[in-house]
Amino acid sequence: MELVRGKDSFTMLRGWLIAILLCCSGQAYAASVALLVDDASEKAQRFKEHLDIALPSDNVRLVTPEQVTSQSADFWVSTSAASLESALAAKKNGRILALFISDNEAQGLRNKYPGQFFTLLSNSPTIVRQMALIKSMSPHVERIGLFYSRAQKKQAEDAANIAKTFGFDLMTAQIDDPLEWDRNALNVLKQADIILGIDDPELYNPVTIRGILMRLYRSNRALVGPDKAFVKAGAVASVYSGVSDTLKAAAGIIRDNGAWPAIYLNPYYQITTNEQVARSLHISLEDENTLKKKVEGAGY
Amino acid sequence: MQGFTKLLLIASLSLVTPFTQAEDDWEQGWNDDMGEIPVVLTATRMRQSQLDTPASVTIIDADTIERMGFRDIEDVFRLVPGMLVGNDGTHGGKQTTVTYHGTQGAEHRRLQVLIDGRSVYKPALPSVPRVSWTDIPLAIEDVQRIEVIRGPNSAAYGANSFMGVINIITKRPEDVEGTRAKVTNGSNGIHDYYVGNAGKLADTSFRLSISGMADKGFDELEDKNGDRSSNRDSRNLDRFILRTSTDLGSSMNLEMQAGYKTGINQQRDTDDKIDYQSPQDTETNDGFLWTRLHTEFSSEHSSQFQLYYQDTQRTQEFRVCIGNYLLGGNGGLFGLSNADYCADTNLNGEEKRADLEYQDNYTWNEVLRTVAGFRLRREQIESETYIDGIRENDTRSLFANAEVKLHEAVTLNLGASWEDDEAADPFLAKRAALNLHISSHQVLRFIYSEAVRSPNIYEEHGQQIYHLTNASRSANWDATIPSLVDVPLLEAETAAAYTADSQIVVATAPWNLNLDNEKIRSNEISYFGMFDDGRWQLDAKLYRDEMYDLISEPLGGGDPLTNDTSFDIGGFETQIKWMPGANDESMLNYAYTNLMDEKNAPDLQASDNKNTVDLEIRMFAMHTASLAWMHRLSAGANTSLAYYYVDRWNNNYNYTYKRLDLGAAFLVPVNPDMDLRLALNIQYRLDDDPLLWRDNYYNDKYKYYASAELKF
Repeated sequence: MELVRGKDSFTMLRGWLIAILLCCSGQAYAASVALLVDDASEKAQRFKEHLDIALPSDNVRLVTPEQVTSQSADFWVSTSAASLESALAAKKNGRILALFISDNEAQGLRNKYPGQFFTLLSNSPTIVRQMALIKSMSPHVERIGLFYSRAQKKQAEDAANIAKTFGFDLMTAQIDDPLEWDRNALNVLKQADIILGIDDPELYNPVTIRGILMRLYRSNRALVGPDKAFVKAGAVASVYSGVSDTLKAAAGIIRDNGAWPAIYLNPYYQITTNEQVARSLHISLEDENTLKKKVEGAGY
Repeated sequence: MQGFTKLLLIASLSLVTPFTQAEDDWEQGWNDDMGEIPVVLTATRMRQSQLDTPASVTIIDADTIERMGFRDIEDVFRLVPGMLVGNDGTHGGKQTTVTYHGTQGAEHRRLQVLIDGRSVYKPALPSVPRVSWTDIPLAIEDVQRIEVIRGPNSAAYGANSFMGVINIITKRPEDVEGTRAKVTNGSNGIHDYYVGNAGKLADTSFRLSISGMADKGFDELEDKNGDRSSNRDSRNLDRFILRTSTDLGSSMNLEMQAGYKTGINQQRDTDDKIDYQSPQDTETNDGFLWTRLHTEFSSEHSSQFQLYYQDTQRTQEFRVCIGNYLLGGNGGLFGLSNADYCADTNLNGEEKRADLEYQDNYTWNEVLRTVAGFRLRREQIESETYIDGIRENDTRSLFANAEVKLHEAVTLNLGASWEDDEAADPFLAKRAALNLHISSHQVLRFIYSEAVRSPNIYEEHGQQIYHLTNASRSANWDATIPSLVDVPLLEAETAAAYTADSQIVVATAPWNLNLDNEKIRSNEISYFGMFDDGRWQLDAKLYRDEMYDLISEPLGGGDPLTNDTSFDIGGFETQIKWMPGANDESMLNYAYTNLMDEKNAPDLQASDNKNTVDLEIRMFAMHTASLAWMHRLSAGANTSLAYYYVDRWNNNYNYTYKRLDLGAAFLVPVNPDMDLRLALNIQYRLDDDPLLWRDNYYNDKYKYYASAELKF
């Protein structure tokens, strides 16, 4: 009997411990979250509202760069490069989470403020997911072409290893001037079945994308990636992490009491496609949700 | 702790779910960390998907041309269902005629050919097809893509887009780089070369090529008695082409092109009643200047302005002895022969065209897209032989085409063009196509179109006047023949005159006809579908074309031209593309073409002019098929196989044409910056018939050529 009673009290104790643990993990403690925005626009207000919903027990408030120095918070969540920089410059205490900036912008600020630590929630689609998308989209593709600028050589090398796991033959070419492709680049374009665009702002940017897409269309090649905006411009498909994905991930990170990494890859993503482009390049596309399920189903 | 994080992340999922639905409303602006990315002219505006086109289309790209080892651009069209490629020697030369569904072989005038939007359909001179493939300043190495619209398309391209349209798109300077140097040698005296270079100077990309071709043509011709003799139909030509592209800001692109072709096409002697003292070989020099300004006003609106000028000079000068011929074959009565009167004469001519076109593309909304514009064209022909001087013809046209997405599964294409041609009645060409999308990758098309071919200046106002210069007359001639005679010529049915003073032979008077446009009404039901991730493509077409007011008489004088012929052509054709793997690609084409005897063809058969009938059915073939297979070994290395089959070709003779081609190419790296590509192509004829016509015999069933190309 005693044994049984003892077991009961142990169960009770365990319940209490879990309760305390939950309290300490932030469920009961209202953390102050400063949402750093360029200005208190309606857009910023809407984002705050959504973050409020995602973090119901926390205290989220909007902070503009001018207000940074006079305020304190447990978490600083920046929504642009300028607002992030204001927090870094003010050397604020508390953890800093950077949203909506590119990996390259983040690196630039790290170099500028070497003593300051912040966590970047990276929304750049990973090469693994983009390749999984290609596999799901066009299972018969064998040769993938990848172009990169000098600065992104490492990414291209990493991509080669990832390609092997998918059984793709990755053909890469460095492009120093997006307006002037050398023979190697033209040869990759000719040999490849499809082109994978990577996060490489020197190569893929609003100024160059037109020329690149026109060149690809003329060669009857489709571009996958680098991101959502390029799909709207004329790429055939891309993985991307949208605002909702960013919110989900940001809320998750804020609730995480563990050590924050320098870069946190957004685990949530969507797939976007350009049906019109696919049609004219004779690619049969399934709908975005089916493709997403396929990519997720494959474990990416 | 990692596991705990994951748990929390999953927990937070449910919290954010409620507003994911309304995401689009407020997401705007957050994702544009790249700034505003311009929406590029969608591929559909550059070219419609085959699922949306209001016509059956066959596309052949540069890869296929290179891998199949084609040497002549004309040969490529053997891969297009319903297309026939033959050589006609009626006028002594050996011009290649490409037709869709046959009809006339000599001087074929019913197919439009555009190179980068520039029409190479020649306006006037007789005795060569209106598209003189050998004389076009175009190297096959410079071709990016060929799109063949299988069916009439005057609604989009104006008159003369009668039975079909060939669009040849050459490589843009931005898409090529470095230097290519290639030589090809082979049987039948094949000796070709190509040197190309592309690069960038300041903001301008350029592509330059110098190329040439030579071969001996066919080996033998057969006369009416079945006797064979050697042919005189070799060609030797050189070409120069420069193309540039300059971006003027982010939304304007200016392109320019200049090209020139010079060369000699040999001709055999055509009339055995004349003693030719020198060959009738033709020197044809063809040059053009072209410019195109493309402007994008927005992602919905763009325009294109195009201007070109081209000039073709044909020089064909030779010396003849025609004493007996001039006397209508009655020279013997006077004791005179051909040798008693010899002189120089010519069949020279020059054709010029200036053409200005403006086109405006507008996407109104999700439902409606339009292309509209106008074209102004002036053609000028100069020939003392064929039109006794200079004549001009101006054409004005307006065109508009609309794509209306009536429903997710229904696309309607409406097109019309109005053209006012000085030499012919104004006309309105129309087309309506209803595309029913059976599924996202299958379409059923119902197409009705009307098109015309306008009679050219020579057809309307031609004549034949042979100017004789440097005459040498025998004393016997001067003593016998008075200075002015008026004798009927043996060869010409119309009155002819010879004046010794002005030294002019009028073979035919100017006919000054008031011919009407040739017309076609085309009805088509076709299907296009893609399966297995696009690895299978199936195209099928069932059609009936009613053609009437056709001008069928030969152009060389004799019978006056009329609009009296009409007949229907109907049939079925299909094209199947299959890519079994990433390294293999195959294409199968078949066409059954039937001259519909039961309705209008009796008119044709009943015609009292055998020549007319003979001409209209010469290019007909009941069955045509081709099979091509390309296998990629590695980058730049491949093998290819092709089989071509034509049955019951040229109805008078029912010839067959069966040919097997084998090709292989290998890449030898010379150094990191230089590759050597070696290619061999062997053609084997599996039958003994001539190519279309008895003038076109090869002695050897094999034909081969090998090329070596350096790329650096």
